[in-house]
Amino acid sequence: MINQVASHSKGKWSKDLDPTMDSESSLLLCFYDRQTDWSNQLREIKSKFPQSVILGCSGAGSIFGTRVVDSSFVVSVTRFDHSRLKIVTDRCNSSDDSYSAGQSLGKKLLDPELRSVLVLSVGLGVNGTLLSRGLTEVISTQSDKYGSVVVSGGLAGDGPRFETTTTMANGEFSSNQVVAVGIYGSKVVVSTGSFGGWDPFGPERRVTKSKGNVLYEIDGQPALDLYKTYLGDQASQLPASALLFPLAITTDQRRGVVRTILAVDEASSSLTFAGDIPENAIVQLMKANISKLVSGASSAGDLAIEGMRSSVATPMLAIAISCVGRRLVLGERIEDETESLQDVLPRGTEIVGFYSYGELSPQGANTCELHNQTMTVTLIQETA
Amino acid sequence: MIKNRLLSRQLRQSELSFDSIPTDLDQWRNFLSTIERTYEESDSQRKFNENLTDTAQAEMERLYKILKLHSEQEIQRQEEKLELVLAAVPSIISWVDRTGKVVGLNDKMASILGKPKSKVIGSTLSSIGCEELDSLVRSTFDEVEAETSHDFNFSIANETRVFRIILKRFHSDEFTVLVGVDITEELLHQRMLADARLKTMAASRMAALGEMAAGIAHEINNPLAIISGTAQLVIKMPEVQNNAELKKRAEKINSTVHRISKIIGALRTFARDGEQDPFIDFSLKSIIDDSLELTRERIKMLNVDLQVADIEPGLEIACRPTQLAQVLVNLINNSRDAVSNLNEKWIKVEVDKTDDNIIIAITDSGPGIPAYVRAKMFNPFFTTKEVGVGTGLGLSISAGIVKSHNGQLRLESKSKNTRFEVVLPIVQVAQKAS
Repeated sequence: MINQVASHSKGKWSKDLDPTMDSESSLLLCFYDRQTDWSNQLREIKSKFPQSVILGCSGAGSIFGTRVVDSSFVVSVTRFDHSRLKIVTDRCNSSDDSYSAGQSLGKKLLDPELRSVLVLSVGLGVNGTLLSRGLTEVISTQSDKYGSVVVSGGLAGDGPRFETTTTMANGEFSSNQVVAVGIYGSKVVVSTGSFGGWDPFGPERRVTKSKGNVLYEIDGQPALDLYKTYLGDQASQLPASALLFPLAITTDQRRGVVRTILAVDEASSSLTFAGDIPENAIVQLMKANISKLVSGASSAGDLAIEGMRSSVATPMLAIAISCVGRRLVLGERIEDETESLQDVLPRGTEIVGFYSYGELSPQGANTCELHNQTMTVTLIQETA
Repeated sequence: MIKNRLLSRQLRQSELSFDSIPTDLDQWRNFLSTIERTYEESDSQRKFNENLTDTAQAEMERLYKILKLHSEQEIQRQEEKLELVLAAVPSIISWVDRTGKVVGLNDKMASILGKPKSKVIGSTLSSIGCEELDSLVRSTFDEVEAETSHDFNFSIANETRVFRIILKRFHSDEFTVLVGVDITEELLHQRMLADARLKTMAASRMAALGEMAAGIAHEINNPLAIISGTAQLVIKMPEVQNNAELKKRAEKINSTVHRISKIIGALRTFARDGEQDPFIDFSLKSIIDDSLELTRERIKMLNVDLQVADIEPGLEIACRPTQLAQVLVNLINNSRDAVSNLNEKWIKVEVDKTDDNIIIAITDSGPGIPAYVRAKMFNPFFTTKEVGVGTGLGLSISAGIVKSHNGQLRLESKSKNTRFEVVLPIVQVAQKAS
């Protein structure tokens, strides 16, 4: 397995990509900002890597090594020596399609040799909880039979705008598509680590009115009003500024699941979250400080390294998917977290990724879950 | 050299360094806009933090008010609940601090102290007239044991009530809680049980004696009849009629037999358990005579001078004659034993009468009864006699019998000798009613 990463910014590539890395077992991951037209760059890449599997998504910033870049097109090229790849897509026109889209992707990828799935979904108009549930239910049957399959990925971002997100599969951009790539073979080793760094604060409150992932009332009060109180001047920057206060949700089944806001509706004073907010759940606002977020990134790297089990060696690809909320809090200091991540990874590890509207990675016994406000790291390596 | 990590990074992004300053306007603008972003972000963060602090503080104050209100309501609810529980408990409860001041008490305690709770709380027990209790409670702070128990007498409406009081220190020995239960009825009950036990014992003894007396009477009466008949025949014989000495001796035999019959009769009567007998108007003289008949001989043997005052022959008293005889025999025998070793030996039996009562006094030549004996002499099983001589039940049972006659058995302490008086109403209440 060999890796190469490059970034296109200000009209030029940071380096020329090596076309000899093109093969049916080559994976190109592309992360870009949605507002720029990247058709030319994509065409150039496709011409250089006609046999390769190409997928990607928009973000609220792209991760290129330790740098966090906007208005850039970041590409990683990974050529596997012993593994094969399969790219699949499905439509997701609304949140209601999320579960079936997850199931559809899972079914298309199922194979006894399947070892890992990387999912990139549009970030708006999707219910990440249902998407991961649909996918997990199918993949877990595979895991039971042939060994564990690592599922990770994220929901595309759109800077702090929350207007439109896109995914890209084999050179085609789409605003209502979920794309996934399966990695097959016994030599591939994939591990993930996910960590937040946010603390619950303030009183516990009860969800008194909600439907699916739309929250209307907390303790009988309009949910949006509560957020505006805490945001002060920054209320004018909703929905992005609501990312400063994610919600920790506790239900009878789960404790402390973190959810962030994707949209607000002034008319109904409601908030739309990336995952379900059940009625009667206990919720608590969360806040972060810069130090905890930065150390949280290195903790995610540590967890992923621990999960590798086999001897950790390069070449290794690290896909870092971090939440847009972290970017909002860290601001100009955003690269503190990517540098912190690099510090714990083996020297020479190539890092690419993006700032997302939701992260997907295993959680406990579950094959895949939606996370918010985390740095989620996926490490990919091939053994000899 | 730039040490700040962020500034170093920003210089690098602008393709500048500490040694490479901007050379054209674009580079300057680019660098300044980077710095400006940092300042704006810092300002924004400051405002955000200030708003967050203000909001959190307002939230905290709101929650504090809610919590305070809930706490106060909860405390009030708990206090009301405690008040109800304390009021429902049939015990006296109070708690006192180390300085002796009453911190709290229940209604029952306030009622026993005869003061409203508001007057008691904050006062010492001695300041409200309970010096003895105050001293007892304060002493618990010096006790080694954290919990002590005491029987304490309270005077309530001219009646003495006995409370068993538990005193227990708590809260790092800063307070003592007093919990008392009225055991007056329990003690009375215990006493009644003891009395019943005594009566059972005495009754069984009397029953045995009665059986024996009946047996003796049955066995002796026939021979006595023969002796008496023979003696009368002998008296009627001409030889005896003509011989004054023989006649005198034969008559002595006859009178002695008659006396033996009377003794046996009295013994049979005495040995009966008369508790269930009805009250009847009975000759007092007859009762006293029967009693003396049973005691006279031993008194005579000990050379004790028995002086019986004149008793009005027609004087009757409403009583259970058998029981009254038992009392008198017991008192006379006690006197006999008391004077047996004295130089001056006498016993007086006197009867006095008031409008309502008859007083039978048994006085002996003894010097009176010491105080320590007086305090206990009516207690069951208390005796000053040698082992095997007395059971310690006589006075106790006698007092019980007299009480059942609505009378009083008392020691006349003003007398220089030992003088017991049996005070009995001439007419019983039931008779009065009829």
